[in-house]
Amino acid sequence: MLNYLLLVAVSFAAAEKGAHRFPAGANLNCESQVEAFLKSQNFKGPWKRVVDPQIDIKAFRAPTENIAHWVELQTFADPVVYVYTEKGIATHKWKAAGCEKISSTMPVEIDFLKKQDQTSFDDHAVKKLLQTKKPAMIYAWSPAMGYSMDAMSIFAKEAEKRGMVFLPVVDPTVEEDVVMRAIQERKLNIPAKKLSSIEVFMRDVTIHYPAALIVNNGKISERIIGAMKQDQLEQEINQRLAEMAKGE
Amino acid sequence: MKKIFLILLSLFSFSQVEAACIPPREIVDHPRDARWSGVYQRVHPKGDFVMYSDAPGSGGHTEIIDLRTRGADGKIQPKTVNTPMINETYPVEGSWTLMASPNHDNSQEMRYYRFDEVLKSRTAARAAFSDREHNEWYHSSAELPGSTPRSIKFRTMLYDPVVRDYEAQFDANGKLVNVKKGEIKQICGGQTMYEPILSKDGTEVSGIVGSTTKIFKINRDGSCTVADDLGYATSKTSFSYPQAGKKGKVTFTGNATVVVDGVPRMRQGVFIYDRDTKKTQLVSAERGASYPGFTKDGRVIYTLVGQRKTVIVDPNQLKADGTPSNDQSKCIQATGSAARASAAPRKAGAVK
Repeated sequence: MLNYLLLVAVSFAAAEKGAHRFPAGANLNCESQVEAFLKSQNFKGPWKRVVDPQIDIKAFRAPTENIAHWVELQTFADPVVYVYTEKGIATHKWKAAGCEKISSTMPVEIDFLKKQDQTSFDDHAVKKLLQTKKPAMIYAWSPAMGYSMDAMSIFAKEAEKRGMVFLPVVDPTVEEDVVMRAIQERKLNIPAKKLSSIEVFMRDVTIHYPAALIVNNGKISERIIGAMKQDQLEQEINQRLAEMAKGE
Repeated sequence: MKKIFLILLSLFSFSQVEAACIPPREIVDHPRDARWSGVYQRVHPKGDFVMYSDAPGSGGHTEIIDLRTRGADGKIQPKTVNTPMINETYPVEGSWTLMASPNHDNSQEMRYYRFDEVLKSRTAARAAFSDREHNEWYHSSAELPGSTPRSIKFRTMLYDPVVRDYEAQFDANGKLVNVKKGEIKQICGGQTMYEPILSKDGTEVSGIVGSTTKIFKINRDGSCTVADDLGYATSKTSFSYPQAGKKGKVTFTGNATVVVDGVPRMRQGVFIYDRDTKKTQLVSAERGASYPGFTKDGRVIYTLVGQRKTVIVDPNQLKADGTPSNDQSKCIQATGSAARASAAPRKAGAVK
């Protein structure tokens, strides 16, 4: 009986620990080794599941305490953690049998950070935004998605109404001449700032344009997805601000 | 002698198996006169056409690329078809008999064109009918079960999501004689859902709810029941065509860390989620791979944004990293000109 109670207590403690540190359904080998590594990366969480990169592999992403520093956990039999920083993507892998760390690579360049220049919207800009008191709206758009250009004025107007800095950033995969042509033809009157921020990219703004993030009191909201009318946008922004105030 | 016969027999059998499969991956360069190609691609059920459609602010042009012709070298010779349709035109999925084109000439009406009429008359084609009451952006349309060539029952969904069901009736000569319009009703109890898309038979809807993409069964009373939860957020999905006894698949784009040539890359790729096995397959991690859609036989066709290319893929002939494999055991069979095309170069390859 005592053994049974002990077993239940141990299982409960393990489940609590897993729930705290690893996402549900991760079924991770080498938990303690991976956990120690994540601690060294100033893991903050929460985990968010992203598209499975391959059959039988699940992937989860989470921010760390540092800006532009994210971790992605992939649940191979041998677990892998990718560390995203401005230097690139570093790979850390453990062998399931014995949990020995079998590889740890130097960061490799991230495609969308390759052509950074003064026209880029990078993580230095994000750091500044998070430090200032004035709220802001980051608006991700693309010449390849027409509605993101159509709806820009609605988002800009709503940002202005709320005293937010409106920051349009463009799809990093589109060539510069295509962006410039779109700005001219649409008479958009905006700078061609290309998205070059890990902190923004990791919030899935490039999956569908337009997408918007609200920056307020040192926090970044969940994304607002798609073109919409003014009244719906008002509701969406109110909802994001409420979530941020609650600390969600 | 017997040995030689067996070798010849195996070579013959091998070339026959190869010839029957479509290529794992076929790239089509868009024609030079294709002006608006590259965005909001929709895929014809037989893969004979892809349609591109821009948003209103860019003029909203809708263009069709005809993929039916192949040259002597076996390559697809695409042709551009200009159309009068605009604003993210969406085909009425199923047979593509009708196409739904919203917000015409600021008239605030959804115009429905016949696809065969558009192919024949091009920009001079006239709408078969229109609807001023049910018209908005981010729409999708699909033929409902029970449709026949003489009576196409279909559903058009707008962003909110609200739906209206229609029945288009045709005479023996294929002339449209009557259109019945049902009531406009909200579905899924007004559930906040981003990027909603109807299934190919109009009985399901997928959309992003919170941080995950869900698929809902639309009940007769307009209420919805969760049929699947992918567990992660995607772009707009495109459903596979219904198959008896199966839930089928959805294809979409998503951001993932994938290993390309041994190096980890953050890529927006094309993926398939199999609703029966609950597994996700990487189809392509090429730069710009977007707007995937299924054909009836299971091919996935997507576009490479910014590169003016359409890619046709057999997902059954891919390795786990999305590159072509040599495994043809479950390949999609080539038919018609595609069969002749796939046979010719492969036989030449086998001789080498």
